[in-house]
Amino acid sequence: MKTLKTSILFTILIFILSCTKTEFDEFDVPSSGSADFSNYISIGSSFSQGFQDGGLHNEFNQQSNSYPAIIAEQMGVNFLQPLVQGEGSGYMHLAYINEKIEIIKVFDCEKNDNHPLAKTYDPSFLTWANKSLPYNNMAIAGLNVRNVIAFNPTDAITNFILFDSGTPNNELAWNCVAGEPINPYGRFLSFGTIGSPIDYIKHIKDRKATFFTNWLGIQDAMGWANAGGDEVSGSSPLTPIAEFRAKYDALLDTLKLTATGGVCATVHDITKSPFFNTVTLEVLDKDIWIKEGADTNIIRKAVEGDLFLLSSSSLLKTGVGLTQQNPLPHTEVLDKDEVAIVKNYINAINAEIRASTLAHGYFIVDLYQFMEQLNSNDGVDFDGISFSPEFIKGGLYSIDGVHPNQRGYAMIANEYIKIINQNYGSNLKPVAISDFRGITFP
Amino acid sequence: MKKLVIYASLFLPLSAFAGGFQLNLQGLKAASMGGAATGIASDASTVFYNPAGMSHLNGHQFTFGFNLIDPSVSIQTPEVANTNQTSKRATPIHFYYSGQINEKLHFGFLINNQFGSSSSFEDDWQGRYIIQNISLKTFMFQPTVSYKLHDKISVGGGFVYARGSFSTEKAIPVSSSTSTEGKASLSGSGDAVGYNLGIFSNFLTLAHGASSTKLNVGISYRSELAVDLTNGEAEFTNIPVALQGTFPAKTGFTSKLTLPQVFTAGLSAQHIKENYSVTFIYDFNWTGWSSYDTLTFKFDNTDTPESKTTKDWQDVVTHRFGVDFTYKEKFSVRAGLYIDNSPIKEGYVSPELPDISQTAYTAGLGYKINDTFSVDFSFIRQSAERKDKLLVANFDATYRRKVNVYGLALNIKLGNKSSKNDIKTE
Repeated sequence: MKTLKTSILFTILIFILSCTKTEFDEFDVPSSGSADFSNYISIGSSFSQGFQDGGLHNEFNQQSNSYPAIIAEQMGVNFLQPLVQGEGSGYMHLAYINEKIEIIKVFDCEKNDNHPLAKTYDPSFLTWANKSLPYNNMAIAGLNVRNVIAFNPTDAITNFILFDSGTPNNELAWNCVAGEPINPYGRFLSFGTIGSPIDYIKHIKDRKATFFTNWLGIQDAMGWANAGGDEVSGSSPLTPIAEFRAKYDALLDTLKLTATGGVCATVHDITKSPFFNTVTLEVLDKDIWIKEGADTNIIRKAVEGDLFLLSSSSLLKTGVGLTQQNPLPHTEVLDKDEVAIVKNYINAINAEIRASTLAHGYFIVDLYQFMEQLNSNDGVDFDGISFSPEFIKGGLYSIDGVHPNQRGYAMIANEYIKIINQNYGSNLKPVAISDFRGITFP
Repeated sequence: MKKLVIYASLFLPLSAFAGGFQLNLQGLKAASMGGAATGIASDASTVFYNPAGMSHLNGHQFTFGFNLIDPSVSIQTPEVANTNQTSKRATPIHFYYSGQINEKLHFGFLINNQFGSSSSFEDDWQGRYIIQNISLKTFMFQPTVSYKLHDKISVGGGFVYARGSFSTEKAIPVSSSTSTEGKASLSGSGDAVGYNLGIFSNFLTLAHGASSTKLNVGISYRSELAVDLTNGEAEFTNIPVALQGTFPAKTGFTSKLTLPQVFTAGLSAQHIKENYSVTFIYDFNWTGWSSYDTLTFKFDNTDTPESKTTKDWQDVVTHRFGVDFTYKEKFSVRAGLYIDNSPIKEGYVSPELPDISQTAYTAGLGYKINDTFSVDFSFIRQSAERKDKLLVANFDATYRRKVNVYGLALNIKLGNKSSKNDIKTE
């Protein structure tokens, strides 16, 4: 009887002491649903490579936390990226000079007025990336849809010259370094020789992906728009729509050989990024003279709707654009008509991206819509942090005003994860935005 | 006295305990019986629950009590499986005195902690930009009188002086090459004055042979207490040099926190037999939490943006039920429950105080050592879960909270050893 009483009392005591446990169980092991994430690859341009602050750098895990790497982490799969060391290609940064925050551009070999604090490439960048490794992140900054495959010998030579690392003493070489290609960001892949070039698409095929994300298409609009809507040396035209579609189809045909699942993202309205919305007539509060285009001699006062590039601020400071005799060059302004051209072009390629993706049995991540939300003036909040598209202060974009910072990329990763889960029945968890770094202030 | 308060508040953190940040623990007989006590005057805690009840206490009565609040709160978000609050245990206290001056007049006094809350998290948790630590402490001092208008009706009222102190910390999303984020630490204190009023009636006594039945009713009101934090100190640490104009190392701030008005109407029925008595009690409790509509911090440094959070809390009603069984006026067993409604609307639930609507259960024991001394023990159990959003921060979470509260009080009765019952009918 006494033992019974004691044990009842003991049981009650144990109950009272133990019942304040509130812990939630750990999440279930990630499930891939009907998708096979075992060999996930990422295709895209700078946005998918982890590029930010006008460079590919990794001193605070910027490249390590590219959005495809975040997705792969949530999938629980290995994901090999061609990581640069530390300061990588060099990048833009902020400095605090005379009690003012200044934007320090990347060191540019063609200019003689580089800021003494300008960061140039890390020496390791010139020998960056082993071409023989099977990378999962196949994104290359500057990659257009038109570069993924050559339909004719001209295409083949153009692509080869753009990406091949063996071009001898090319005066177009990146950062004036002899032996560098025009674009060094694809150096982790071999583009063959000028006599026998290798298509990007061949590498995609060889990777035998089981699943992919693809955010190509941005560069096809951005190369032109970020140069003020003019074809600089003929290198950055808007890719013709028919060619865009044919090559996009060719890419998905190739993926279809092995990938049972995948998602393709639409291109966002790049004219809403801080790159085009920071230097404004409202901020300048004076008449600005602009030259309209490369092929015209029209010089006129800027009007509402003309978008000055972020880079124009340094010219404006020196007095350029303040008089009719000394207008802002056409490459520093995306004028009103050009803005309309870019917006229409993005709508047109998005229609092709949608059609091609659905025709191949893959799904769309509508980043056009998603970035509209991020770029809205009301902004968005995550984990108690407020974000807006405002340059630097907004917390969403990196210092180049074009590419998101790590937090912005994490939001994009979550949007991919949401769409992948919806369509493949997987249960990948989103990431906490607060786990990632924002802009680095001086 | 002020010094005492400062010392006391250093050592007595108060913990999140539902009912907004009101601590319904001010008397342990009440705490054992669902928190109901307005329609009964069983010990000196009536100075708090219903000052008019003092007219029914003989001689000089003292109550010293404290509670140990043992909370456990866990949070799950879509991104992070589990985060535990690191809040420590809290020990709010109360002290009451009620003394009979003459046939008509009683004087009383109280010191207690009527409001308080604290939430703490590891510094690097997911919601650190919403809250890392927050703590609110209050001390109330209340001289009180009651007056017997009539054999069956008394009234009472008190002047309340309240002292509140507040501190909070959160991360600021700015990083430099040497730090991942900044931190804001705010602390301040202030005071407020208010009053409480009550009316009490032992309106019916039915005697039948050796047994009797008594019915009592009481109504009480406690005013709002607007605590002005005029001398707040804000410290910003780990701020990048370029942003130290906006977030200086130190600046002052002002804020205001209005503690809500509380209205309670209560009823009790006591059936007394030769060997035992049984008491049922009910309180209808209304708390004017809509006073907590915004929380604003205005900084002395003009470049520091004002911090304004919309709380938009709502007034709430709580129903409290309790029963007491006392054997031979010596041993008491008590139980009760209360149906608590959260003042926090959907879309406003923040990890700084994730209040949850719930039914909570209470129990207690009483033992009368002799005519002078008696002790009470109380236990409250809360267990609830709520899934909600903090819309303004886009923070989506499930909160699971369990709280055990243990209370111990000593009652001392001097000057009238002959009293047979606390509630005396002349």
